[in-house]
Amino acid sequence: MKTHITTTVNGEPEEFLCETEQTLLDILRDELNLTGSKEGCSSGDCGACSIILNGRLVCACLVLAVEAEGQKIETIEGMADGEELHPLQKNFLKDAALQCGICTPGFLIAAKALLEKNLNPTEKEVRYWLAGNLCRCTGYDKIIRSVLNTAEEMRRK
Amino acid sequence: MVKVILTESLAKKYTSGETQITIEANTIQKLFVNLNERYPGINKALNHEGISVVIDGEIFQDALYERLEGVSEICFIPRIGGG
Amino acid sequence: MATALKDFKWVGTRAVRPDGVEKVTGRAKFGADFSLPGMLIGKVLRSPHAHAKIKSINIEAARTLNGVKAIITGSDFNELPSEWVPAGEVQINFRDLSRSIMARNKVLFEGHPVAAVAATSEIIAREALALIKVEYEILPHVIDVEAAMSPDAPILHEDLFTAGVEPSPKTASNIAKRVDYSSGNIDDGFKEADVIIEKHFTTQPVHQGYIEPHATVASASEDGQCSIWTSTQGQYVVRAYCSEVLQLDISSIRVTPSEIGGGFGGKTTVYLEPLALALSKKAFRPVKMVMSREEVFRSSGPTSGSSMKIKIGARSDGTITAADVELKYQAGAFPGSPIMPGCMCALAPYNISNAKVVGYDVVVNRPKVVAYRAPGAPISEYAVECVINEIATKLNIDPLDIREKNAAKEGTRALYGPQFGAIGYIETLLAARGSNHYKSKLHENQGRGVASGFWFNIGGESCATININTDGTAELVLGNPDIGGSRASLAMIAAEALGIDYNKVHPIISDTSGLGYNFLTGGSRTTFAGGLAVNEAAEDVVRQIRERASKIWDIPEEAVTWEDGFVRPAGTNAGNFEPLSLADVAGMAAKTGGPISGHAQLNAQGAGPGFGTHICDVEVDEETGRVTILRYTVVQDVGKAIHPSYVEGQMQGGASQGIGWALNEEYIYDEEGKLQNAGFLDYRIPVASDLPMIDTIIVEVPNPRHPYGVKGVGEVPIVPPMAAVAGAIADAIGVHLTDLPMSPPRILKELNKKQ
Ligand code: FES
Ligand code: FES
Repeated sequence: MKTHITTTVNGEPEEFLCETEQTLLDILRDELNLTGSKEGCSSGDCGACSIILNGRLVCACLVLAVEAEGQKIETIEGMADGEELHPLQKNFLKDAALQCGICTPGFLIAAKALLEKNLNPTEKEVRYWLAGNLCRCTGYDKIIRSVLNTAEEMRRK
Repeated sequence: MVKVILTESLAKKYTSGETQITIEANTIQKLFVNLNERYPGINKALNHEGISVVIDGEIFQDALYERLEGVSEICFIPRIGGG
Repeated sequence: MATALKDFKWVGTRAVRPDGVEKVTGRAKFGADFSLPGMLIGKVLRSPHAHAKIKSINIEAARTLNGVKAIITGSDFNELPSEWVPAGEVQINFRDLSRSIMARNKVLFEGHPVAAVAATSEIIAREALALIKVEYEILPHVIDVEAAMSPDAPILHEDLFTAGVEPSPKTASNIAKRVDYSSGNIDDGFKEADVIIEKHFTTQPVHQGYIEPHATVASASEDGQCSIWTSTQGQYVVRAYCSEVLQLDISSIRVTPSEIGGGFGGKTTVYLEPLALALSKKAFRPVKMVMSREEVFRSSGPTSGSSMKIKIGARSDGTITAADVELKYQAGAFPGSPIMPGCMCALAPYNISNAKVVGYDVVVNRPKVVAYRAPGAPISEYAVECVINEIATKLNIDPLDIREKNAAKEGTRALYGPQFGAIGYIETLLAARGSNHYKSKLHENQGRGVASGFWFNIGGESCATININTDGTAELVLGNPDIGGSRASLAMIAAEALGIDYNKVHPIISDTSGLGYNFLTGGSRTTFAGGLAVNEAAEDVVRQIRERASKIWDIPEEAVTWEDGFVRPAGTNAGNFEPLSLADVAGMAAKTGGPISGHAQLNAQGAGPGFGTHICDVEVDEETGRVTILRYTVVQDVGKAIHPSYVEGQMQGGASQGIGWALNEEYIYDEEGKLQNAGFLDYRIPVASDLPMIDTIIVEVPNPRHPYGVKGVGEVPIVPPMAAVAGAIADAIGVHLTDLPMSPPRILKELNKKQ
C-alpha cells in the first residue's frame, strides 16, 4: 500500500506516493529527481543528505517519507535565488571549498542552517556544527574558512 | 656503450653478482636482446610484472623504442601506478 | 614552449572552477544520480563467511519471483588465464580480478560476491537475494598478516607458490611474493654506528573513505553495443577491464564517467560495472547498481595493513650508516599488495650507503586491497620516519637537521636504482625550519613531531582535443575524470597557451569514444600528463592559426608569428598587416580550410618525484588518552602550482586522511573473520571538530620536463602524517608508539606502563 503525501519543496507544492519504508531521501532523489541531496551512508553519519525540514536541519536519510506530510522541505536545489547564488555558494566557489563536490550540497545546507541561527559563529562553533558532515577531500580547512568569510560578509550587509 | 644498473637480487641470479654492466645498444629494445644474449633468462625476469625503464634518472613507462645515443645509464624499476 | 620562470596570466591564479556552479547547486550528476527509462535495480548477494567452499547455489526460487529479470553467479563468467598482463600503466591478473568481483568455487572474504540479481525495484531485488540458497562449507580463515605467513596457516589459494625465492617452493603458501633491494653491506654499516634503533611496527588497513559509494548504470543492447555510466577514476580502465572480464570487443563498450565523489585510488578498479553489464546482457534492459556504505566497507578498498621491522644505525653526528627494513603487507584475498612501491619508497628520501629492504606480499581473508593515495609508501615510510625521529631524540639532534644531513638530493642514487634529478626535498626541510609554526613554543602535555615523505609521481597516456569555435571560444575535451579541480587547472593551461581568456575555455570530460586512450586519474598524473597533452593540443591549434593567417595574408607560414594570442607578420619584410586574434582567424575558419581543432596524444614521461615535510603539534590528555591535533603544517615541493587553491586542497586533504590513519581508523574483525565496524559511525574518519586549520607552504622547484614546471601533488601529502603525529605524541609523553592507530586506549596503556 502506498501512501499519498503532500508537502512543500523549495517553496513549491509537491505530492508523491511512497511505501512506508521509503526514506525522504529516496523520494527526493528517485521520485522527485532532486538528486542534489546525496546518499553517502543512509545511516545519519555523513550529512551528505542534509536538508532543512520545517526550519530544522535534518538528515533526509533518517526521515521517513510519510513523515513529510504537510511539512516544508528545503534542499540544495532551492538554495540559489534565481540566478543569484546564495553567498555561501558564491564563497565556496571563490574559496575552493570543494574538491570532488559530493559533500558540498550537505555542507552548504548545514552551513546555511547555522548562519540562520547564528551569524557570528566562532571557528569552534562552525567546526562543531559541521561535525556531522563528512568530507574526505579537503581536510575541512577551506570549508570552515569559507563559512566564516560568508558570515562576516553577511554581517556587514 | 651504456651502463646498466641491476638490483642485487637480479644480479645474484643472472650476472653472478655484477650490479653494473656495460653493454652496446642503440635502443632499449636492442638492449634487452643483447642483455639476454649475455645473461640468458634475464629478459623474462625483467618483464615479469612489467617494468619501467629509467634512462639517465628519468622514468619511462614505455621505453622499448627509446634511442640510447648519448645516454649513459639505464636501470629498471617496477611499474608504478598510484592512487 | 613557455618556461616555468615567465609571468603567467592564468597559470598560478585562483580562478573559479568551470564545474563549480554545477557542484554548489546540486546539478552535477554523480554516479548514483544517473537513471535511464526502463532501468532495473541490481543487487549483490555477498558471502557471510570469511573463507568457505561454495558447495551449491540454488537460484530457482529467486528466478521465478515476479519482477526478477536476471540473475548471475560465478558460472556466468569465463575462466581467464592466471597471468599478469599490462592494462594501461599497471599489470593486472584478470583471473584474480574476475574472481574477486564474483566468487567461483570459494569465497575468500566476508562480502565476497556470490550472485547478483536485477529486478524491477530495489525491494524486489532484495527479496530475490533472500531467496537464493547458497550452501557453504566453512573453512578456517586467516586475517592477520603474520598468522597468514606461518607454515600451518589456512591456505587461500592451493596454486599460489611464493615467487622470488630460490629454489621455487613446492608447497602452496599465502606468501605470494618476496622482493628485496640492497646496496653496500649493512653489517659493516651497523658496525660504524654509534646508535642503533630496532623496532617492530604494525599498521591497520584503512579505507579510502570516499563519501560517494560506488555506483554504475550499464545498458547492453540486442546488437551487442554496451554503454556504462559510472563513477570511476578512469573510464578507459573500466572499458578495458570489462572487455577482459566479459570477453567483449573494446569497441563494443562505451564508458561515460559521471562526476566522481572521491576516489583516492579506490575507484581505479571495477566492482559493479562488469556485474551490471552481465545482468543487462541477460535482461536487455539498463541495470543500475549502487553500493551501500556497508558494502563499500566490506567489499571494496582498502589499502594494506602491515607488520614491519626497521633497524637503523647512525653515527653520533646523525649520519645514517645502515638501514635494514623488513615489510610484510596484506594483499587481501588475492596477490597484489603495494609491496613493491612500499619497498622502493621506504628509504627513498635518504642517501644511505648500506641498506637492505625485504618485502612480502601476503594474502589474507580480507577484501583485495586497491590503490590508496601513494599506494604502499605511507606504510613503510611511516615506520622508517618514526625510527629516524627516535634516533634524533637519542642523539639530541633536531629532527629536521638529521633529515637534512641524510637527505637525497640531485644525483643521489635511490636504493631501487636510478639517480634523482631536480628534486626539492631539502627545500621542504628548509621551508619547514623557517616556518612560524616550527619556531612557536609549546606548553605542558604538548609535543611536536615532523616527518617527511616521498612519492614517484607518474605520467602515462593522455589525450586532449581543443576545438576552436568561430567566435574564438574553445571546447577543451579531456580524458580524465575531474576529482578535485583538474578541469580548472587544465583549462588554465589551455588559456595560457592560446592567449585567450580562461572563461572562454570550456572543458568537458569525454566518454571513451571521444578521445584516444587515457590512463586513469591517479598517480598524481592528471595535471602533469594532462597538462602536457593540453599544451601540445594548444600548440597544434597555434600551428593551424598561423597556417590560416598565412593564407589570409598570402605570405609564407614561417613569416607568421604567434604571440600573446595574436598572429602577426614577422617583421616588415613579411608585409604590413594588422595583427589577428585567435577569434579573428577562427571566424574565417570555413573559408580558410575548415574547422580549427588541435589534438595531442602522448605517453607522458618525466614526471618529477615529489617530497614533502609535515610539522604536527599535539596535546595528549593524560586522563583519557585522547590526542588533539593543535597545529599542523604541510610543506611540499610541487614543481609549480597551476591553481594554488587546489594544490593546497590536495595537501590539506591528504594530511587529514593521514591524521585519521594515525589516530582513529582501523578495521575490527571478530573471531569468525567478520568486519565489526562497516560504517562511518565506528570506522571514524576525521570530522571538522577533530582538526585545526591545516597550514600549507608550497615549495616550487620546477620540473624541467614540463612546460610549466609541474610535478604531481596529490599523493605525497598522505605519506608523512602518521610519523609526524607519532613524533608529536612521543615528544609530549616520552613514549615512541609503534602501532597504528594511536587511539586513546593504546595511549592510555602506554601512559600506565610509564607510571
Ligand atoms: S546519507 Fe544521510 S547522513 Fe549519510
Ligand atoms: S569535496 Fe570530496 S568529500 Fe568533500
